Amino acid sequence: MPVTPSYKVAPDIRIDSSGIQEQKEPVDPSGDYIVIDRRTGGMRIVRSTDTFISDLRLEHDFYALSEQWRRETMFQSLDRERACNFAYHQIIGMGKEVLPYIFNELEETTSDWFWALRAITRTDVEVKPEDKGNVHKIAEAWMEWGSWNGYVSKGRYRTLLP
Amino acid sequence: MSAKDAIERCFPKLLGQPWRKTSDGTNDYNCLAWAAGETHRRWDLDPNYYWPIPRREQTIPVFIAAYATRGFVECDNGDLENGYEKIAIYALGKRPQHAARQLANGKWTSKLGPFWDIEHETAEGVETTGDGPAKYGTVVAYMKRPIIFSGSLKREPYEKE
Repeated sequence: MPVTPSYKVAPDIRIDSSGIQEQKEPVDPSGDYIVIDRRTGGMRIVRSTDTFISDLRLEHDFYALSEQWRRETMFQSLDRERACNFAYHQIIGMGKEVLPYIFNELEETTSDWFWALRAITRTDVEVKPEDKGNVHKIAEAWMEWGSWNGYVSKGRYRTLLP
Repeated sequence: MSAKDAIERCFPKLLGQPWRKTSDGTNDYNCLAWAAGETHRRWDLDPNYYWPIPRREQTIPVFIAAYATRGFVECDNGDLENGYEKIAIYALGKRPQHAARQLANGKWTSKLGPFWDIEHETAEGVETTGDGPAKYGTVVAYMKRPIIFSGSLKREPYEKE
């Protein structure tokens, strides 16, 4: 289930269930945007180059591509066959910036992300021989890796690193 | 589009035969494990998954060798045979993609990726051309084992480890 970002950027960028819509011309020549957080009703001013904006785009793209990938590979079984998909390749191409979103999903979707994690991090976790194929154990090992490397922001594996 | 419609669209041969959902989707096991009667782990070729033999190659001989560790031997067809349990291995070209298991009533059971398990009338019911989200291809091998090894009589399948 894709997560819709809870932010609205007005007036130049709007984020809704269909994605980010952007106007070509900035309304304010300074390049500032007003950002409204729907959860709190709070407002803030950000620059068009603020990382906040690119984070929102990254998050949106990640969930949109994930949904596309699941739809296009929903009946495939082998990991390598499911990973052989252009949307999944694009997620891997996003690099380490996308890891926090992957770890947010990992506890629930388990094996969906092992291939991408190996490709992005260029490492692999070790599981005991008797746990081979147990997706919960493999996911646990990855969550611990993510925690130690500072990519897990919530849940019981959230990082304790400064 | 309903899930049923999506399945029939991907597996057009199911349109001509009765089939039904038998369980919800899960990532805990996959079709290859399900064909062997296992639901506690995934059989896959990548290093952290379970695979019954050292060779982890996506080839038909390797898949046949994997199921041979569970007592299966190659056979000619998927006809119901008294005293035997059969499986079908599917491949797109020479790359295996799927496996299904015959039930005691002669019907077949398949796990569709991370999605549902279904029961279908014939092994050919889940054959595909390779377009769309199910690139199963066609049945390239049938295997059988004496039913004493199977989950239908003994819940824990035979494991030679």
